[in-house]
Amino acid sequence: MDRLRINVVEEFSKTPGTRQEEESDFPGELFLSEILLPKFKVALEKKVKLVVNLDGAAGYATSFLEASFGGLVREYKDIDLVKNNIEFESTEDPYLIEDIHEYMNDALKEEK
Amino acid sequence: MRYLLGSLLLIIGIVVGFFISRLTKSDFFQLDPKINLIEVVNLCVVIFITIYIPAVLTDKLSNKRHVKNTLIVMVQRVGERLSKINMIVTDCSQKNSISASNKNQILQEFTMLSNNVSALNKLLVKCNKKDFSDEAKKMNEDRRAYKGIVTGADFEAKKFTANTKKEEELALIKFQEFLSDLIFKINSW
Repeated sequence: MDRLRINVVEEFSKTPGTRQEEESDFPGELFLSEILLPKFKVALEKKVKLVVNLDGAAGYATSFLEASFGGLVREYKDIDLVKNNIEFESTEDPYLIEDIHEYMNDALKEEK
Repeated sequence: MRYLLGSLLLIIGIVVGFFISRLTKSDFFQLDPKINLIEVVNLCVVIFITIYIPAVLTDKLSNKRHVKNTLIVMVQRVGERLSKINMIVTDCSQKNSISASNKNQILQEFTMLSNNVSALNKLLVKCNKKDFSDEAKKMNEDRRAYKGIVTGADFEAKKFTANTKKEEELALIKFQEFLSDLIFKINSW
Protein backbone atom coordinates (compact mmCIF):
# COMPACT_ATOMS: atom_id res chain seq x y z
CA MET A 1 0.00 0.00 0.00
CA ASP A 2 1.67 3.20 -1.09
CA ARG A 3 -1.21 5.51 -0.26
CA LEU A 4 -3.47 6.24 2.63
CA ARG A 5 -6.89 7.61 1.75
CA ILE A 6 -9.45 9.99 3.18
CA ASN A 7 -12.89 10.31 1.63
CA VAL A 8 -14.36 13.50 3.08
CA VAL A 9 -17.98 12.57 2.35
CA GLU A 10 -17.77 9.03 3.71
CA GLU A 11 -15.60 9.78 6.73
CA PHE A 12 -16.75 13.26 7.69
CA SER A 13 -19.76 14.87 6.06
CA LYS A 14 -21.60 15.43 2.82
CA THR A 15 -22.12 19.03 3.94
CA PRO A 16 -18.83 20.35 5.31
CA GLY A 17 -19.33 23.45 7.39
CA THR A 18 -17.20 26.48 8.01
CA ARG A 19 -14.22 27.13 10.24
CA GLN A 20 -15.19 26.60 13.86
CA GLU A 21 -17.53 24.41 15.81
CA GLU A 22 -19.41 27.41 17.21
CA GLU A 23 -20.27 28.50 13.67
CA SER A 24 -21.52 25.33 12.08
CA ASP A 25 -21.83 21.57 12.12
CA PHE A 26 -18.92 19.70 10.54
CA PRO A 27 -16.39 22.55 10.74
CA GLY A 28 -12.92 22.56 9.25
CA GLU A 29 -11.21 22.55 12.63
CA LEU A 30 -13.03 19.37 13.61
CA PHE A 31 -12.10 17.71 10.32
CA LEU A 32 -8.49 18.70 10.94
CA SER A 33 -8.31 17.43 14.50
CA GLU A 34 -10.39 14.24 14.12
CA ILE A 35 -9.46 12.98 10.68
CA LEU A 36 -6.86 14.91 8.71
CA LEU A 37 -4.14 15.30 11.33
CA PRO A 38 -4.24 11.72 12.65
CA LYS A 39 -4.18 10.23 9.17
CA PHE A 40 -1.46 12.57 7.99
CA LYS A 41 0.65 11.53 10.96
CA VAL A 42 0.15 7.85 10.11
CA ALA A 43 1.01 8.55 6.46
CA LEU A 44 4.25 10.22 7.50
CA GLU A 45 5.17 7.33 9.80
CA LYS A 46 4.49 4.78 7.10
CA LYS A 47 6.20 6.97 4.50
CA VAL A 48 3.18 6.90 2.18
CA LYS A 49 1.14 9.67 0.60
CA LEU A 50 -2.19 10.76 1.99
CA VAL A 51 -4.83 11.08 -0.72
CA VAL A 52 -7.88 13.20 0.08
CA ASN A 53 -10.93 12.62 -2.07
CA LEU A 54 -13.16 15.71 -2.15
CA ASP A 55 -15.96 14.54 -4.43
CA GLY A 56 -19.58 14.11 -3.46
CA ALA A 57 -19.90 16.98 -1.01
CA ALA A 58 -22.39 19.82 -1.39
CA GLY A 59 -19.41 22.12 -1.70
CA TYR A 60 -16.56 23.55 0.34
CA ALA A 61 -16.57 26.95 1.92
CA THR A 62 -13.30 28.85 1.80
CA SER A 63 -13.29 28.96 5.58
CA PHE A 64 -13.53 25.15 5.82
CA LEU A 65 -10.67 24.59 3.36
CA GLU A 66 -8.48 27.17 5.03
CA ALA A 67 -9.17 25.85 8.52
CA SER A 68 -8.44 22.22 7.58
CA PHE A 69 -5.64 22.32 5.03
CA GLY A 70 -4.21 25.68 6.00
CA GLY A 71 -4.42 24.43 9.56
CA LEU A 72 -2.44 21.32 8.62
CA VAL A 73 0.38 23.50 7.31
CA ARG A 74 0.30 25.65 10.45
CA GLU A 75 0.45 22.50 12.58
CA TYR A 76 3.65 21.28 10.96
CA LYS A 77 4.99 24.74 10.08
CA ASP A 78 6.52 23.20 6.96
CA ILE A 79 4.64 23.67 3.73
CA ASP A 80 6.95 21.48 1.68
CA LEU A 81 6.55 18.58 4.08
CA VAL A 82 2.78 18.81 3.82
CA LYS A 83 2.66 19.34 0.05
CA ASN A 84 5.04 16.50 -0.66
CA ASN A 85 2.97 14.03 1.37
CA ILE A 86 -0.59 14.93 0.44
CA GLU A 87 -2.57 14.61 -2.77
CA PHE A 88 -6.09 15.62 -3.65
CA GLU A 89 -8.74 14.14 -5.89
CA SER A 90 -11.54 16.31 -7.23
CA THR A 91 -13.46 15.70 -10.42
CA GLU A 92 -16.44 17.91 -9.62
CA ASP A 93 -14.72 21.25 -9.08
CA PRO A 94 -11.78 21.89 -11.41
CA TYR A 95 -10.28 24.65 -9.27
CA LEU A 96 -10.74 23.13 -5.83
CA ILE A 97 -7.27 21.61 -5.64
CA GLU A 98 -5.64 24.80 -6.88
CA ASP A 99 -7.58 26.81 -4.28
CA ILE A 100 -6.47 24.45 -1.50
CA HIS A 101 -2.86 24.90 -2.56
CA GLU A 102 -3.32 28.68 -2.43
CA TYR A 103 -4.69 28.48 1.11
CA MET A 104 -1.82 26.20 2.10
CA ASN A 105 0.69 28.64 0.59
CA ASP A 106 -0.89 31.52 2.51
CA ALA A 107 -1.30 29.63 5.79
CA LEU A 108 2.10 30.49 7.21
CA LYS A 109 2.09 34.02 5.79
CA GLU A 110 -0.97 34.84 7.94
CA GLU A 111 0.88 33.72 11.06
CA LYS A 112 3.76 36.04 10.23
CA MET B 1 -20.84 23.98 -54.62
CA ARG B 2 -19.52 27.51 -54.57
CA TYR B 3 -16.50 26.52 -56.65
CA LEU B 4 -18.79 24.71 -59.10
CA LEU B 5 -21.03 27.75 -59.53
CA GLY B 6 -18.06 30.03 -59.92
CA SER B 7 -16.51 27.77 -62.55
CA LEU B 8 -19.85 27.53 -64.36
CA LEU B 9 -20.13 31.33 -64.46
CA LEU B 10 -16.63 31.49 -65.87
CA ILE B 11 -17.46 28.98 -68.61
CA ILE B 12 -20.66 30.84 -69.47
CA GLY B 13 -18.67 34.08 -69.63
CA ILE B 14 -16.14 32.53 -71.98
CA VAL B 15 -18.85 31.05 -74.22
CA VAL B 16 -20.74 34.36 -74.34
CA GLY B 17 -17.48 36.14 -75.08
CA PHE B 18 -16.80 33.69 -77.91
CA PHE B 19 -20.15 34.36 -79.53
CA ILE B 20 -19.73 38.10 -79.05
CA SER B 21 -16.39 37.89 -80.78
CA ARG B 22 -18.14 36.16 -83.70
CA LEU B 23 -20.55 39.06 -83.86
CA THR B 24 -17.65 41.48 -84.42
CA LYS B 25 -17.38 40.06 -87.89
CA SER B 26 -20.93 41.18 -88.62
CA ASP B 27 -21.96 44.68 -89.59
CA PHE B 28 -24.05 45.25 -86.47
CA PHE B 29 -21.16 46.57 -84.39
CA GLN B 30 -17.41 46.78 -84.54
CA LEU B 31 -15.11 45.52 -81.83
CA ASP B 32 -11.37 45.96 -81.62
CA PRO B 33 -9.93 42.49 -82.52
CA LYS B 34 -6.58 43.14 -80.88
CA ILE B 35 -5.93 41.45 -77.53
CA ASN B 36 -4.49 43.75 -74.89
CA LEU B 37 -2.36 41.78 -72.41
CA ILE B 38 -3.03 44.22 -69.59
CA GLU B 39 -6.77 43.82 -70.03
CA VAL B 40 -6.43 40.03 -70.00
CA VAL B 41 -4.48 40.19 -66.74
CA ASN B 42 -7.06 42.60 -65.36
CA LEU B 43 -9.83 40.18 -66.29
CA CYS B 44 -8.05 37.30 -64.56
CA VAL B 45 -7.54 39.36 -61.41
CA VAL B 46 -11.20 40.37 -61.34
CA ILE B 47 -12.27 36.74 -61.76
CA PHE B 48 -9.91 35.74 -58.94
CA ILE B 49 -11.22 38.45 -56.64
CA THR B 50 -14.89 37.80 -57.28
CA ILE B 51 -14.86 34.01 -57.16
CA TYR B 52 -11.92 32.64 -55.24
CA ILE B 53 -11.39 35.09 -52.39
CA PRO B 54 -15.03 35.21 -51.15
CA ALA B 55 -15.27 31.41 -51.40
CA VAL B 56 -12.24 30.95 -49.16
CA LEU B 57 -12.45 33.98 -46.88
CA THR B 58 -16.19 33.70 -46.19
CA ASP B 59 -15.71 30.26 -44.63
CA LYS B 60 -12.86 31.40 -42.40
CA LEU B 61 -14.67 34.56 -41.27
CA SER B 62 -17.84 32.59 -40.62
CA ASN B 63 -16.01 30.02 -38.48
CA LYS B 64 -14.32 32.72 -36.44
CA ARG B 65 -17.68 34.40 -35.82
CA HIS B 66 -19.09 31.09 -34.55
CA VAL B 67 -16.22 30.69 -32.12
CA LYS B 68 -16.63 34.26 -30.88
CA ASN B 69 -20.35 33.76 -30.35
CA THR B 70 -19.70 30.54 -28.40
CA LEU B 71 -17.15 32.30 -26.19
CA ILE B 72 -19.54 35.16 -25.53
CA VAL B 73 -22.35 32.78 -24.57
CA MET B 74 -19.97 31.08 -22.13
CA VAL B 75 -18.96 34.43 -20.62
CA GLN B 76 -22.64 35.30 -20.20
CA ARG B 77 -23.18 31.98 -18.47
CA VAL B 78 -20.49 32.84 -15.93
CA GLY B 79 -22.21 36.19 -15.40
CA GLU B 80 -25.57 34.50 -14.86
CA ARG B 81 -24.04 32.15 -12.30
CA LEU B 82 -22.62 35.12 -10.39
CA SER B 83 -26.00 36.82 -10.45
CA LYS B 84 -27.59 33.70 -9.02
CA ILE B 85 -25.13 33.62 -6.14
CA ASN B 86 -25.67 37.31 -5.54
CA MET B 87 -29.44 36.75 -5.38
CA ILE B 88 -29.08 34.08 -2.70
CA VAL B 89 -26.67 36.26 -0.72
CA THR B 90 -29.07 39.20 -1.00
CA ASP B 91 -31.91 37.03 0.24
CA CYS B 92 -29.81 35.89 3.21
CA SER B 93 -28.83 39.48 3.92
CA GLN B 94 -32.45 40.65 3.90
CA LYS B 95 -33.51 37.83 6.22
CA ASN B 96 -30.37 38.29 8.33
CA SER B 97 -29.80 34.54 8.38
CA ILE B 98 -28.23 31.78 6.32
CA SER B 99 -30.23 28.57 6.38
CA ALA B 100 -28.62 25.19 5.75
CA SER B 101 -30.40 25.14 2.42
CA ASN B 102 -28.98 28.56 1.45
CA LYS B 103 -25.53 27.46 2.49
CA ASN B 104 -25.59 24.31 0.41
CA GLN B 105 -27.06 26.17 -2.53
CA ILE B 106 -24.32 28.80 -2.39
CA LEU B 107 -21.61 26.15 -2.27
CA GLN B 108 -23.14 24.20 -5.13
CA GLU B 109 -23.38 27.35 -7.21
CA PHE B 110 -19.71 28.03 -6.59
CA THR B 111 -18.85 24.50 -7.74
CA MET B 112 -20.84 25.13 -10.93
CA LEU B 113 -19.14 28.53 -11.30
CA SER B 114 -15.76 26.78 -11.17
CA ASN B 115 -16.88 24.46 -13.93
CA ASN B 116 -18.18 27.34 -16.07
CA VAL B 117 -14.96 29.33 -15.61
CA SER B 118 -12.80 26.30 -16.30
CA ALA B 119 -14.63 25.46 -19.55
CA LEU B 120 -14.43 29.08 -20.71
CA ASN B 121 -10.74 29.37 -19.82
CA LYS B 122 -9.86 26.18 -21.69
CA LEU B 123 -11.62 27.43 -24.82
CA LEU B 124 -10.10 30.92 -24.58
CA VAL B 125 -6.60 29.53 -24.34
CA LYS B 126 -7.28 27.02 -27.12
CA CYS B 127 -8.49 29.77 -29.45
CA ASN B 128 -5.72 32.23 -28.82
CA LYS B 129 -3.27 31.43 -26.05
CA LYS B 130 -1.28 34.61 -26.59
CA ASP B 131 -4.18 37.03 -26.27
CA PHE B 132 -6.25 35.38 -23.60
CA SER B 133 -3.92 33.68 -21.12
CA ASP B 134 -3.88 36.76 -18.84
CA GLU B 135 -7.66 36.94 -18.93
CA ALA B 136 -7.96 33.24 -18.06
CA LYS B 137 -5.69 33.74 -15.05
CA LYS B 138 -7.52 36.90 -13.92
CA MET B 139 -10.91 35.22 -14.18
CA ASN B 140 -9.81 32.42 -11.89
CA GLU B 141 -8.36 34.93 -9.39
CA ASP B 142 -11.61 36.91 -9.38
CA ARG B 143 -13.57 33.69 -8.89
CA ARG B 144 -11.42 32.71 -5.92
CA ALA B 145 -11.62 36.20 -4.42
CA TYR B 146 -15.41 36.34 -4.76
CA LYS B 147 -15.77 32.88 -3.24
CA GLY B 148 -13.50 33.93 -0.39
CA ILE B 149 -15.65 36.95 0.39
CA VAL B 150 -18.90 35.01 0.28
CA THR B 151 -17.81 31.75 1.97
CA GLY B 152 -14.73 32.79 3.86
CA ALA B 153 -14.28 33.85 7.46
CA ASP B 154 -17.34 32.88 9.47
CA PHE B 155 -19.53 32.05 6.51
CA GLU B 156 -22.60 30.80 8.29
CA ALA B 157 -22.29 33.07 11.25
CA LYS B 158 -21.75 36.26 9.32
CA LYS B 159 -25.34 36.41 8.11
CA PHE B 160 -24.24 38.86 5.46
CA THR B 161 -24.47 42.07 7.43
CA ALA B 162 -24.55 45.43 5.65
CA ASN B 163 -20.75 45.62 5.55
CA THR B 164 -20.18 42.11 4.26
CA LYS B 165 -22.99 42.57 1.72
CA LYS B 166 -21.29 45.73 0.48
CA GLU B 167 -18.00 43.85 0.21
CA GLU B 168 -19.73 41.11 -1.74
CA GLU B 169 -21.38 43.62 -4.10
CA LEU B 170 -18.07 45.38 -4.77
CA ALA B 171 -16.35 42.08 -5.59
CA LEU B 172 -19.25 41.10 -7.82
CA ILE B 173 -19.19 44.42 -9.72
CA LYS B 174 -15.45 44.07 -10.27
CA PHE B 175 -15.92 40.56 -11.66
CA GLN B 176 -18.81 41.62 -13.90
CA GLU B 177 -16.81 44.58 -15.26
CA PHE B 178 -14.03 42.18 -16.13
CA LEU B 179 -16.50 39.89 -17.95
CA SER B 180 -17.86 42.86 -19.95
CA ASP B 181 -14.33 43.85 -20.96
CA LEU B 182 -13.70 40.25 -21.95
CA ILE B 183 -16.71 40.26 -24.29
CA PHE B 184 -15.35 43.40 -26.01
CA LYS B 185 -11.95 41.79 -26.33
CA ILE B 186 -13.41 38.61 -27.80
CA ASN B 187 -15.42 40.64 -30.33
CA SER B 188 -12.39 42.59 -31.46
CA TRP B 189 -10.15 39.49 -31.64
